[in-house]
Amino acid sequence: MTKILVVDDEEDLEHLIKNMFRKEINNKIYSMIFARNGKEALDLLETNPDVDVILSDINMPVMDGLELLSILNKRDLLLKSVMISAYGDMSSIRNAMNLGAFDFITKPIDRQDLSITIEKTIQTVQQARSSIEMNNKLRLEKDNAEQSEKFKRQFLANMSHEIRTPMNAVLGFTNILLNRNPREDQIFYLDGIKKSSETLLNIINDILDLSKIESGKLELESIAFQLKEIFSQVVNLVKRVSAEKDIEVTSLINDNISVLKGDPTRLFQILMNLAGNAVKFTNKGSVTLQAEYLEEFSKDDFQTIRFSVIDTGIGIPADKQKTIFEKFDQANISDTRNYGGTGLGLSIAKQLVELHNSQIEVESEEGKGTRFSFSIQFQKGHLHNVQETNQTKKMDGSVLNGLKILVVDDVEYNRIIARDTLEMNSNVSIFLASNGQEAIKLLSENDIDVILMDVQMPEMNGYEATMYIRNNFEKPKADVPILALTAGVMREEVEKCKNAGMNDYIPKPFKTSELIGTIAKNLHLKAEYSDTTTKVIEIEKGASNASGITNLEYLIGFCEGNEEKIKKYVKIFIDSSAPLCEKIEKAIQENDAIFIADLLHGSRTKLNMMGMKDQFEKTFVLEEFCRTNGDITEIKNNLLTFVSEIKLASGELKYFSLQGE
Amino acid sequence: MADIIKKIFIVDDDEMMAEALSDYLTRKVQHSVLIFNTGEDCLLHLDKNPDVIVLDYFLNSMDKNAANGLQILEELRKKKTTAKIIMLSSQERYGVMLQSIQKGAETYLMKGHDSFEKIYELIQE
Repeated sequence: MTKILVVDDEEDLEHLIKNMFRKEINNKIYSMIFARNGKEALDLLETNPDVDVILSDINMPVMDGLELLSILNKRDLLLKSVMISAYGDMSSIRNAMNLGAFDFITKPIDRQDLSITIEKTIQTVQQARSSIEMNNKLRLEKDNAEQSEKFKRQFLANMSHEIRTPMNAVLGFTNILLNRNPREDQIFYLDGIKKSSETLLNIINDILDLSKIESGKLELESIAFQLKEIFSQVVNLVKRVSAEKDIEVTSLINDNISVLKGDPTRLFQILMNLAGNAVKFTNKGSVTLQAEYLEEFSKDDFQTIRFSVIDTGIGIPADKQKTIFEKFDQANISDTRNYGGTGLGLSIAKQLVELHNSQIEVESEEGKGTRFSFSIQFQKGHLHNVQETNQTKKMDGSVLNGLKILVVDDVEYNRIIARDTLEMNSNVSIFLASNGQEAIKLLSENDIDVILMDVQMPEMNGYEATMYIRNNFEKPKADVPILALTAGVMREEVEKCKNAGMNDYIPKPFKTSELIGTIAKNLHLKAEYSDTTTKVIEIEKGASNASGITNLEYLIGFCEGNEEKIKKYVKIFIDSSAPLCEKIEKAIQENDAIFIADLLHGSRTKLNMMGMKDQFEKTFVLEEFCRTNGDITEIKNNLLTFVSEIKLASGELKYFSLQGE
Repeated sequence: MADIIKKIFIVDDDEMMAEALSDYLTRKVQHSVLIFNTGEDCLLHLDKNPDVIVLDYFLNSMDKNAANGLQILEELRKKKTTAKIIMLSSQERYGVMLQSIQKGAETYLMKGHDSFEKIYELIQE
């Protein structure tokens, strides 16, 4: 039923309308309520929020139609107003329309005109109502879907975290024992523990990878690398796995292949999964890795490489060749018992190849062998940009000699592993803290060179501790390198670490070489990395990679590549960020919500120009909160994070602009 | 047709915004652009007879007590400037818009992805 509110100080209109729509009123198609002036109409609306259409005169005592309109206009209601005015009173009509009236009719009222106008108005209101209902329904469905996806990811993240934490202790202690001159028989058992826990860890990583790929959260990196190195890593690992078998492992690589730009980690993973699979199902003969340069498919700046992994193993029956890529599927159920593995490897390899816009092909003959192949187009890279990709290379711990290292972790085992691993490999002084507060106390009392920070801790967690150190300590202590040492490896967690102001990240359980290498890298100590090469890569990342907080793609486009202009904007950002941060911090202390809202408002162009999309989006939410609540207590942490992100961006850009000089 | 070079004042406390707008407006035509971070500063330079003034509504991020765009607009009209005034703001308030027009702004524009383009068109008119 449509509800119409009629507002007029004279009774004529009421009579006319009642008379005109008698049939509709009797059949309960319309219901009518009446008011004598704008004020009465507003009162009636309080008790009748379901009014669809207002039919109002303009000239009335107490409150006229225009004032009524201007009040209604501010309320953002769904109802529409139709105004009635004297014939020829154009200025009132114009005013009414400017104030948001939907339509108007002039006196004397023509029955047909009125009826059509009301019909048209009702139709519009109903359309708006139903589209809002539809939107709400869609939004609800979308929210539900997002929610369940979020739960799934959260569950995986928790699982992964819960399993990694004890695994860190198992692997860590095993390594320490292996280094303490165990007896021969003990070495055998310790080796067994080590290999089994590494296998378990690989399974967890596989499951996580698959979940990341499936939810579209896996992004490919674009960094320069040498294909030869990847091949030799795969071959070395495969040789180790196949040591007990009578298999020859070889690699054939075309000399024309130059330095490539792409994602070496994922390429390694694809090849390793395929080669690992090949070794598993081959008992005699050979496993060969091959890379050919396909000239006919390559363009100026691109090279297309065809990869093949060829084995002389048991082969795959024709009818199984399609299903082997499905999750948890091996050619025979009994294979799982005979050959082990989760059956995730091929599925991951296939999806990673697809992420590179390619397909895996399989040729196989039972009893003779199998050949997996795929082609990927890479951009050509430059030699001076090649990063050390070999993370398993033995690191010389002496590079850390003399350092004071603070290890923060609430789990005692983890503290001991980090301490003993570091002390075993180098001559360092270790400080231990079991939560953020203890860490802050130790930092204030000692000159610490680097902090290894767990994330989830009671009292004060790793993010809070980092933000506290970045915001409240004096320099140089405020800038102490903080490396997250955490079992959380989902992208969101890694980003949270960066956003909190941490410099880098080491996943738990860690490899000794990784721990030493990451510390050395962040303190710019000469270890396996030479200073210049890492710098170039970090700048490339900061300028255009998703891993940096800024992204200059938009700015470069806006400046049409003009380097001077790009630098000008970067400089404006850097110069203005310190005073901006100071102002926001001061306003936070004074709880000056409106000024903060103004500052957030004013920062948007800057964030937009520097490609800080996340922070740009944040300003809207934070600004609205400030303006509606007038109090920032609840969002204080969010504001502080925002400030630290701006500082981080400014640092990142300083690095960028230094590079250009 | 030769493009007419105009004198343009940009009044915005957001230096990044002002520079970006200035760069955008001078991409094709060599307009002469002056940037002011406060409205008060702009008022001091009216003797340069600008053809167009692009005036932001929010002007207080540098100085909390700086006058807002509407107050400056009023001052500009008192000083009888003949410049075309384009009021710019992301403040989607009906009131500010109405008042801007009443106080003599040529146009009121919401900041958005196409506002640079619109300003450019208005200046070319």
